[in-house]
Amino acid sequence: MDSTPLVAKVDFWIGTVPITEPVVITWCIIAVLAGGACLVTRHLSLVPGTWQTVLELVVGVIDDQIRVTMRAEPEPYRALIGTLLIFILTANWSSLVPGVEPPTAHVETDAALGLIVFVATLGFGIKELGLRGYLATFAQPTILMMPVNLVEVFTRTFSMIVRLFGNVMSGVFIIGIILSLAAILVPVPLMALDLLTGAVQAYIFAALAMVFIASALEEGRQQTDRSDTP
Amino acid sequence: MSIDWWTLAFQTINVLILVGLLARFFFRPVAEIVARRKAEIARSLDDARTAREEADRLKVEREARLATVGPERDRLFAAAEAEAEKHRQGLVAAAEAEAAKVREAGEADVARDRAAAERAVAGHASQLAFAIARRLVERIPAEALTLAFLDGLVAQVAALPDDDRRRLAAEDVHLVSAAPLGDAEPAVRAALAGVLGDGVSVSVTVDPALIAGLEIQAASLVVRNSWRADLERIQKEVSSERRHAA
Repeated sequence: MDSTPLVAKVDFWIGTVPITEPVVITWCIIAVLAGGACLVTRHLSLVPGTWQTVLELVVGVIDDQIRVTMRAEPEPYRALIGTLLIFILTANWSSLVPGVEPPTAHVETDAALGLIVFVATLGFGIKELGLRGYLATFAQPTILMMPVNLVEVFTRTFSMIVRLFGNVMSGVFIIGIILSLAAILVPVPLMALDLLTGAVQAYIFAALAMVFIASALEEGRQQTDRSDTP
Repeated sequence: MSIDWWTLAFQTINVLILVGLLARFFFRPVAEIVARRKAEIARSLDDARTAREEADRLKVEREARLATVGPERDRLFAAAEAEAEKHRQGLVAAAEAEAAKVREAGEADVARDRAAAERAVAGHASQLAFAIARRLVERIPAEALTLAFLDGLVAQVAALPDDDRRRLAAEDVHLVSAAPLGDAEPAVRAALAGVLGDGVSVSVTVDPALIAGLEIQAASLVVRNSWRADLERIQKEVSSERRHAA
């Protein structure tokens, strides 16, 4: 089963710790993104050139999405949401490189992303409401809803993970199967479709992260409004 | 399908590291440059607004100044005209003073020329008088004329103070006659001896420049009784009277 995308291939070992292929590819992606970021932001000026205009457009679009979706200023959330979007997009599109399997096609990477969103949701909620205030939101509208709300927190995170994993993994699967059956140029349309799917999935994951964090903040705002009402 | 927990942990850490790296090297610099540009634009807008307000203020100020420039212009014209009139009067006064000075200088020149002309006329008159007297003298016999002037000469010598007359008698008397004495010489010597004493020494010379008459010339004094002396005295008197009249 080493050739199946469902199991991450171990590239090498550090002692007893296995370093799998998604980890190595993620390191490469980190190196490319961080190095590229250093290069493109090295000579920023008040009068932007073509590349700087593209960078500012990217950041501006992310900021606008945060404002629209979360109804909040983008500054505290820009790095997290933007990094999720860029990383997932890059990881999904890394399948264009021959022999490279997207890290997001392995459930561990998607689970790591989901875990980060889960923790961020908790963190921003607690920061907004305090620990007790945030825990109290689970008893809304009645305490009877607490089990359902708790399950919802986990299931929606789980759904994010599964959605991203299922879409990317299925694309890899299908292309692999078609490649094994047809000529090398036949799967090209499917690969193009896979790129589109990858972009859409990256956007959906980032949008869901914004929605989850915003819902925690929104509950905080509603609590504040209720406490302000005489 | 199984989950590799090591991979899960690594990927979690990897993504968190990437969040930190992109925040540090991508999102923050780009957001900061955008914020700086917005601040710069806001500052430029503020500057433009301030400049426009300043321009409006200057426009209002200029319009206010334009409203007051008419009376100010009239006042300046009046002041300039007054100054020009004052300057003109000063120039006229200076020109008049200069003209008066030139006129006075001209009058002085005219008076000087007139005096010179009068002197010349007087000179001509005296020459004419000398000529007339000479013509008259030529018509009268020399002895008679000498005798006629002898009485006057004797009278002048007699009128001298005694000291002068004695000193004259002690000297050699030089008698100048306008014409040769001729037959009248004994009478002349007798008359002089009568008024100066018998021992007086008299030498006689002839000088036609006297026109007519006799003169005694000694070392201490001169006694003149001739027409030349009379004419010169008259000429001096006339000149003196003209100077007094001027």
